[in-house]
Amino acid sequence: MRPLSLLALLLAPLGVRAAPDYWDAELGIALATRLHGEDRLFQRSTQLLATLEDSWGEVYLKAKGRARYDFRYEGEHPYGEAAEEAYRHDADWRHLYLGMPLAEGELTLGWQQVVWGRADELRVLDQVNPVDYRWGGTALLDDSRIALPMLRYTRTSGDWEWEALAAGSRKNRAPEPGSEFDSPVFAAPDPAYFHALPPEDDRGLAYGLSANGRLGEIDASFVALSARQFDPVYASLGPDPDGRLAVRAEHPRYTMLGTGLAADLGNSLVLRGELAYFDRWRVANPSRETGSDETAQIKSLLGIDYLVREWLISGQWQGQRLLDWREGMLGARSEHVFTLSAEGSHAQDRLKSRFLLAFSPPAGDDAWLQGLFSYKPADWLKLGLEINVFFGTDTTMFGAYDRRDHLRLSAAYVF
Amino acid sequence: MFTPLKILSATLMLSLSASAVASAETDADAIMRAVRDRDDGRSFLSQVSLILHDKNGNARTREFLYLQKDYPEGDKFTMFFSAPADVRDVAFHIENPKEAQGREDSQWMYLPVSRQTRRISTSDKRGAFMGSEYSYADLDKVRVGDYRQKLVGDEVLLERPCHVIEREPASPETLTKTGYNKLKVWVDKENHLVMRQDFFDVKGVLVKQMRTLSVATIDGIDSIMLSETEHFIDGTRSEMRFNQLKYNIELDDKLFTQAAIRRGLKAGDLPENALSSL
Repeated sequence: MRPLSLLALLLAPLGVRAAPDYWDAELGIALATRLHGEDRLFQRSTQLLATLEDSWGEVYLKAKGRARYDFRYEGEHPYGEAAEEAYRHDADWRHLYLGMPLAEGELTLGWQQVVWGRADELRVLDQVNPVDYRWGGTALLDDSRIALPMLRYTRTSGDWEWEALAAGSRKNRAPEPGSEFDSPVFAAPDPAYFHALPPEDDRGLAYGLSANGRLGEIDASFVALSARQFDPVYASLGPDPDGRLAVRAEHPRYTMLGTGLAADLGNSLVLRGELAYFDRWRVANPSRETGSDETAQIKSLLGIDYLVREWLISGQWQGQRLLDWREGMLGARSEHVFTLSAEGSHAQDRLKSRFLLAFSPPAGDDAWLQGLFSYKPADWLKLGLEINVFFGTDTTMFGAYDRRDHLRLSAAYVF
Repeated sequence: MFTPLKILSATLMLSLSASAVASAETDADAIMRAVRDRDDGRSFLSQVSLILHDKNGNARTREFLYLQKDYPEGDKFTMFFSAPADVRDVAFHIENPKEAQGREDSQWMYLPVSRQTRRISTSDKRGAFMGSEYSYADLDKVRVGDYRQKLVGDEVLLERPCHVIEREPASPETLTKTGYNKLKVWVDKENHLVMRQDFFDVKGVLVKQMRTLSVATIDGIDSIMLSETEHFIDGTRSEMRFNQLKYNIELDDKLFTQAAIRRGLKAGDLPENALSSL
């Protein structure tokens, strides 16, 4: 069922009033241009973002929707039909759910985003929702996380909040081949050599449990998740009559157990740590008859935040290790990402800035510099500037965009 | 030449003067303790408008709900921002232990843009509270032992007789935390409300002034209804207007947790009479 139909169905018996409790909207335009090469303008879009909240007694509705249209795909463009289909227009719910009290807790039902952990734009415990990578891997997570249909129950007991959820199945969305955001990191099997068949069984709910609270002076989180991998792993089915290798996309189920801690160390420092263990994680391995291997995986994060006046400076390390790594796996035995960011607000909160350096060692092969600025001369006007500069080799997450350094200008009217 | 008589006189004068200073300090400590310990109810709720005025006279208003509750170990505060859109659902939770415990407070902030609750270090409180001229340090509960203070006079403000007290940081940590080298505080002699406060930077320059502009008695407790802070260097000004104020209402403990700021405020969270008046 489409989200809009569900919304209408749910609201009809409740008798929606003309004026909701709260609404706001933002209508914006954005221009993005590459800093190298020919035909540099790659985005000329408009976006409508709308929020609505209403309540009926103790039942409440929260909705946030987004619609985008990119005029760059009108007329001639170098990106092909598939990219035009994927990027010309797009609409989604950032969230759309009903909430109500239940048994001294709260039940929420609908399309939701749930963020576990305290990492800054990195994902260790944050595994509940998939991500839309159509605009590359460098968009802010809040803009690219995909809301999932979900039933979620939370209950507070003293300093602890307990959470149980069951979520529907969606997958990460990769950039369209041939698009501005395409990259070898997101590569799918080449149709010249592989006949990729759609997944046979990738449905099934994800189940999660979490507890967030305090152990003395330390903030602590414990999470457990049973879900399907968001990215496909291709199982080999043997040669096709046309000589290509038939493969089937699979999204195997795994279990994750994780914990996160945060503590104020004094001297303006907060230390954050996360650790997640993934059981039965599958990694593509073309040297295997089945096309993949199963391994356990550990993801870990260590972060430190330093607060100085209006600036929050953060350093993070994220490590990822395949515990049963085997020769031929399309994934390194261990990978590391470092981020250093500074985020501040000035001029009575009118100007907000964020500077980011992210890299994987060796940094010369894979690094990304970003500057994000937003300026609000008045409550109704928001101006934005985003600069992205990449360094590295073609096969790395950031290096793949080395010749696609770009800047984006935006303006939005806030209703 | 110093004769024994002169030495005795000088010693007497010195000791008299020292005891006058000690007395002024003792009085000032007692007054600041009275400010810290004044009756502000066992719980407190208010709808607050934070109005930011830039140097060109333009104003922007931020609305939030402010909740406070007393606990045996100290006070807990929660703030839920509701407007404008760019700060809606931002929330803070602060736990402020009693000064005798000798511990710093603990703070958490929920930012809807990251959908995460983050712990904030409290060692540096010089930052502006939501872009206003109030720093996080200015909004802290008074801590007597963090400063050396002395009574320097009496003045009348808003027709209220006030003590005038000068405070200087007792340690480099306090100076680092607040950024103020000296505070001059006007305290209402009768109800111990702070009626005015001057803030001096490390160079001794008067950088900011906080003024109480309106006081009312609510539920038998004298309360600041309108306060304003002016930044003399930046030429900016912020007002904090307490539009509705209620004391001693039943506030659920679940509103004073980290989980509360992520969850946000829902119908039924506040007593019915509190909701109807807001």
